[in-house]
Amino acid sequence: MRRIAASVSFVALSILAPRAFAADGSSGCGPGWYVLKDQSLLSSSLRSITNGILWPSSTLGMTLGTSNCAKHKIVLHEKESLHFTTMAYHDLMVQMARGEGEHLAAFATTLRCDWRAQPRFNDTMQRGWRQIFPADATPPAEVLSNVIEQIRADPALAQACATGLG
Amino acid sequence: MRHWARLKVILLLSLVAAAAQAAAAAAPADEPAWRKLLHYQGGRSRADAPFFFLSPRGRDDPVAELEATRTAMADPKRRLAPTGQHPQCAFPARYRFLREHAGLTVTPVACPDFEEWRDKLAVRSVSLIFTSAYVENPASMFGHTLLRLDRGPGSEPLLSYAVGFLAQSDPSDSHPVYALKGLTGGYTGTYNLDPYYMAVAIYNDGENRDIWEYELTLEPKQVERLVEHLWELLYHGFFDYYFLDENCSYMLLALLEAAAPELNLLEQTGIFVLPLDTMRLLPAERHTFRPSLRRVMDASLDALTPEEMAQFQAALKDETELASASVRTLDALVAYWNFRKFESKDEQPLAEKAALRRTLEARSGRPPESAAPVTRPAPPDQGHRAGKLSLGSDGSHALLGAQMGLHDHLDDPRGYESFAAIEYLGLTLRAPKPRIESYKVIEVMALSPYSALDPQWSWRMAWTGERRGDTLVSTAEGGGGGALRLLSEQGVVYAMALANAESGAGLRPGLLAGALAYLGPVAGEVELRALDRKPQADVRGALAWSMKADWSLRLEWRRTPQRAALAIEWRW
Repeated sequence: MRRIAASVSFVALSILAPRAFAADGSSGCGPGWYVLKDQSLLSSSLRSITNGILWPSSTLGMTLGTSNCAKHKIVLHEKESLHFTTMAYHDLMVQMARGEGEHLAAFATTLRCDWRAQPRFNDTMQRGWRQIFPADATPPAEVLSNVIEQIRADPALAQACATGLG
Repeated sequence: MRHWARLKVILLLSLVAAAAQAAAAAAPADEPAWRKLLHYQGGRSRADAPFFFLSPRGRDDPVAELEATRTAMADPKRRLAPTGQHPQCAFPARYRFLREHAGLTVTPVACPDFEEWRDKLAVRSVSLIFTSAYVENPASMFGHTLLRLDRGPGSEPLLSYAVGFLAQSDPSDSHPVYALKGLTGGYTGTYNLDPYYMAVAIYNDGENRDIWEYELTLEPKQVERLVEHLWELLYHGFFDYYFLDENCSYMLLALLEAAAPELNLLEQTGIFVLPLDTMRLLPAERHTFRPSLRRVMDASLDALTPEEMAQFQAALKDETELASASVRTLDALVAYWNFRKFESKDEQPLAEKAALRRTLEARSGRPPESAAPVTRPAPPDQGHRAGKLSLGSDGSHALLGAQMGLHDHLDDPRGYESFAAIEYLGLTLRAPKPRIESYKVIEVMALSPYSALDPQWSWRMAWTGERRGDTLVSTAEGGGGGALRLLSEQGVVYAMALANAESGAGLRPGLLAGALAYLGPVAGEVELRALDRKPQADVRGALAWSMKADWSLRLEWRRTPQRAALAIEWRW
């Protein structure tokens, strides 16, 4: 419980208080930063976000690289798919197994896949479910890299998602 | 002599010019658009952040604030705490207002952060998101509201960003402290922006709530102003949070109103602002429904044939059954184990975790199939209004009643959580020779029909008073027990163990049992209450007929003391 809480709080902290990670000395932004001084935004975001959610531990905070106002509230373009994998983890896990669902379409969008390739995307994810989720609590970053591997292994899909694969 | 005349003319002209300028300066500060951007209520702004204002008197003086803002906008070197932005960039909505309504013409400053943020959000339309009540947490008993910023047709709603207003509470606060602080402004509230898929995960899955999405009809200009004002609020505003009136719903209305001052939303809210009320105030076109995990699970179970139900039960105990289960059965199993995962929060037994995994593995080997259709309940904006006025008689006296809210078991259930009653602040008076017949500070009764797959407690909490003879007897009561469905969805029977404290009789254990049934517009209830050291059990019965939108007729009867009353009720 404490480990999950700690890792989720890490995620929450990194999303809501970029100042903690701002290496460039920017002044940080918004009331989140301000409030962190006296009260515990960490604890409050813990309550508001983690009320019963089970999220596998993640090093998302480190990879978000948020360091200024604009990016602080909007997930960096290149990190969208990772953020989505982390926050919509459970919906993705279920919908991938079922081979259909709204979260799959949104996920494919974060990967910049052409919408016309959605049926193929869903099919590939369903077929590759065991490789994508090899363990009980596969970390989101690993899930994402497994997904990308599945896409790359299918030439037509790799083509359709070309811009997102980087 | 000519010099004097010229001097007088110049003096007069400058006086006129000064007066004109003063008048011009005062006029925009009086405009509703300016006042709403600064969140003024009466003479004072609701904003509690010092950096929300550019004038030291800004909180109480819209004219001074406008002047200070005008000056700041024109100063190319000015930078504002805590974000270090130029005023034009920190307050783009105010900047627009001053340009369009107060004749401000200054050299524009580049605002790359704001523009990047705005362009990334790419907002074309706004939806009001309403999550249904979550009775387990008092702060969530009335539902929660968000505003979703959509990118237009063809975009993924899940990837939209959603605005909420949350109290930054301290989890180490005990429940009574949490309640007290929440009610009295002890917590700071801030606007938050997060991808909508997070809200879906928290509310749909984590808290097992239904989500309703209403697409608001706003003009492009209003949408533009909303985005600009949101930037101002996110980085320069915080507000004391008051659960009853300056809560999430109220603050989202304040945001909308600043963007669309002609809508005049806030003055239409009552003393207490309910999320439900906000939906009635806003012009909306369509709505979408996202069912909670429990509803998805129930729908998938309802779709099973008897053979499939047997497969389901078998697979619950023995994973080898998964191989021969139908796709529908597998979907029901997935829904069930997924529901169990979120229900047990962090404490799901390992065996259940493994079961979910095995089921998902099995499901991934089968073709995709549409999920079982979920019956959509009546949307919350169609529910009856919160307040109630009643006029009735017990045969010898007239009875006048008023109640602030909200919903009891005999009220029209459409748009409300099934079998959950929440009532507060009610009073009934007798006339002539006025006296208080009864009062209700709070009464909550949540009945959850038992199911083997999803066992839930039913519980009750009440602080009420009623006239017995010449005495007004106060009672505090709490209880817990169970309920069973009756006549499919149309009724329920329940039984609870009670702890009852009555003025004059002290604390007593007791038993409560009753039945509730709905048949079209008529609702009926019968209840028996037996208390220790009380010779006779108290029996009550009631019938209510919901006639039309806000009108109903109610007949109540009780045995000890024997009395019957008929009343007509009106919701407001």
